[in-house]
Amino acid sequence: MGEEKLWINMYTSMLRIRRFEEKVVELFAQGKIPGFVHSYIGEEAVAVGACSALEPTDYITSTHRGHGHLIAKGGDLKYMMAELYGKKTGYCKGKGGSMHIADVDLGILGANGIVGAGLPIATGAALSSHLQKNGRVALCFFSDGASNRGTFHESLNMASIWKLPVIFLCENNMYGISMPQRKGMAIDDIADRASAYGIPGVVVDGNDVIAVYEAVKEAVSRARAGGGPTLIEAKTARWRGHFEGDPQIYRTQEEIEEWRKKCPIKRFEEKLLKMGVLDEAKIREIEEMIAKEVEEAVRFAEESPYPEPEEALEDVYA
Amino acid sequence: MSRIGIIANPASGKDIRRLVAHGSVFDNNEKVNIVKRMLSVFEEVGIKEVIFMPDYFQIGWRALKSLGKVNMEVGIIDMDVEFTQNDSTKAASILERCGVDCLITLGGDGTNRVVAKGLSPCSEVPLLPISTGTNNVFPYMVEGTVAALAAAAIAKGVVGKEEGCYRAKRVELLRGGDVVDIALVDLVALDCSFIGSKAIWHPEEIKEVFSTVAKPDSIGASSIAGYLIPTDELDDRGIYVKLGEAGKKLYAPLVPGVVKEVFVESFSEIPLDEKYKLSLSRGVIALDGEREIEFSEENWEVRVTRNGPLVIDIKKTLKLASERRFLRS
Repeated sequence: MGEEKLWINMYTSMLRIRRFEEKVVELFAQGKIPGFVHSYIGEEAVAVGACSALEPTDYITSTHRGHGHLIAKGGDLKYMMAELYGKKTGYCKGKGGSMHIADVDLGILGANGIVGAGLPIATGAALSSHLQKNGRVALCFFSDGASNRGTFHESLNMASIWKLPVIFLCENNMYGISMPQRKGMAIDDIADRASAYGIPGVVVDGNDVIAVYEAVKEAVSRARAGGGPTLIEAKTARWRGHFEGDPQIYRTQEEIEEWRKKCPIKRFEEKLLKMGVLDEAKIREIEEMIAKEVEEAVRFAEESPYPEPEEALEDVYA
Repeated sequence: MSRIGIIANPASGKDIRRLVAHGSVFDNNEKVNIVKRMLSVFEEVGIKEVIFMPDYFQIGWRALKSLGKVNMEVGIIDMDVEFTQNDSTKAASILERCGVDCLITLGGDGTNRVVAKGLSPCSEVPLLPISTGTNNVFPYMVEGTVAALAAAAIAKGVVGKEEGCYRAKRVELLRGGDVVDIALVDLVALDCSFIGSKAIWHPEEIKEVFSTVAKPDSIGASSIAGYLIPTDELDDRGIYVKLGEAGKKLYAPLVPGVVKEVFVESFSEIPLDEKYKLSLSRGVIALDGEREIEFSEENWEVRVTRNGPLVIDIKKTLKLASERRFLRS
C-alpha cells in the first residue's frame, strides 16, 4: 500500500470510530441501547495506529472500551451496532453486547468486560502462533488499570520467557474508572514495567497516529522475527466518562478541554491538508461515506429481530 | 552562598529507541536514586541550597522525602507546569535568573537541548549534564556521586568556572535571519513526512547532518563524520555531511547496538558562525536525535556557533579540586 493511501485509510478509520461512537452515545441517551457503553472518543489514534501495523490475519484482544479497536481491525459497523442493540444479527447474536464483541475471522478474539482479561488470551494466541509457526502476531489492548492486575504480570512473564509474538499495548488514559494513575501505582510510565520482564518498554504519544503506528510496526517486525514481546504505552485520554452517565466528579472540565485541543483526528487532518494528501472535497466525501455507513448500521440494527427467549442457553460454553 | 539547580526530566529514556535499538529503560525511580545520592553529597560538602524543577513524577520531592531531614535548604521552583519539554526550558530560564552557581540536568541530548534553549546564549551558569540513557552524546555517563562532587567544587568556588568549564558549541536553526531553534550536538535534515515517534533510525532518510562534534566514540548522526573528520567540543569548527545513494558507503552507529550503512556524498568542516542553506525543500528537521520540525519551505539556514552553555569538565574540575585539597579535612 502506498504511503498516501495508508494515511487516508488511517484518517478514515479514525473518523469512522469517532462518528460511530458519537451515534452510540446519542442512541444510548435515547434509551435505545441497553447495558453499558464505554466511549472510545479521544483515543482513536491508538487503535488505528496499532491496527494499521497489523496484517488481516493477526490477532487482537480488546477491552470493555473496545469499539474503536474492533472498527480499526475491520469490524462491520452493522453487526457491531446490532450487537449493541441486543439483536440477533449482532456479532454475538445479541447476547454479548458492547463489551463482548468478537470476530475470529478478522482476528478479533474478543472485547472483554473483565479488566485485564485480554492479556492472557493474547498471550495464548501468540503461543498458538509460535507453536504453529504461522507468522501471526497478537496485539493486546489494555489500560493503565489493567497493568495492576495479576494477568498483566503473568502474561508478560510467560511471553518474555517463551519469546512469544505478542505486543502489549497499554492505552494509558490516566484513570482506572475514577482513580487517577498516581493513586494506583508508584510509577508514572507503565512502560517501565517492561524492564522487570527483560523486554523493551516504549512510551509514545497516543494522540499521534503516526507515532503509534511506527512503534507498533517495529514491535510487530520484532515479534515476527522471533524477538519476543514488547510493551508499548500510548499516553492518551478519553473525552467522555468511564461509562455513559458517569458524572466525572474526579476530574475537571478544564482537563477534558485540554485534551480536546489535542484531538488526534484534527491533528492528523491538518497535517494531511498541509501536505496536500487531503483537501476539503475529499474530507466531505469521507464524511458522507461514513455517515451512510453509520446510518445503515443503525437501520440494520433497528430492523433486526431480538433473539428468541429459547435461544438464551445456546452458544453458552461455561 | 552555594546554590545548585537540578532539572530532572521524568520523560527521558522511554522512547522508541528502547525498541528499534537496544536502548536501556531508565525508570524514574532510578533518577530519584541519583538525586538522593547527589543530595547526600551536597549536604556533606556544605552546599547551602538546592532548587528543583517541578515534574510530574516529583523526582526532587521523592528524593527528599526518602532521605528525611537534610541540613540545607531545598526548594521547588514555583512555576506553571505543562508536563512537556517546555517545563525544562522554563525552569532553566528561572534558575539562571535566580543566579544558581551550577545547574545539573538528568536526561539525554534532548533534555539538555531544551535546557540550553532556556538559558541565554553564552550563559554563565555552569551546566553539569548527567546522562540517563544509552543514546547520548552531550551529557556524561557518570555516577551521580562523582557528578555531585564536581558540581559542588564549582558551586563552592573551589574551582573557578573559567578553569573547570568549557564553552559548548551549538547548531542554530535560522528562519528569516532569526534563531528559531538550536541543537547541542546535531541537526539532521530528513526526507520523511512526520515527526511521529521522534527518533531517527532509518539511515536512508538522512540527507544532511550539521554537527558540533564528530566523534568515533559517540553514537547517532554526528558519529557518521566521526571516522572522517574527528572533531571534539574544543575544536573551533562544525561538521557538515551530505548523504545520498550515490555516495561512498560507510558504517555508523546511529542508535545503540545498531551499526548501519550510510552513503556519504560529501563532508566538510564548516567555520563557526557561517550560514548554510538546507538543501531539502521539504521534510523533517531533527535536533539532537529527535524529529522536531516538519517543514515544507526552503528558507531555512543553519550555522554552528560557540554560543552554547558553559559545561563543567568533570575530570578536569575534580583534578583541580583534588590539587586544592578539596574533601580533605
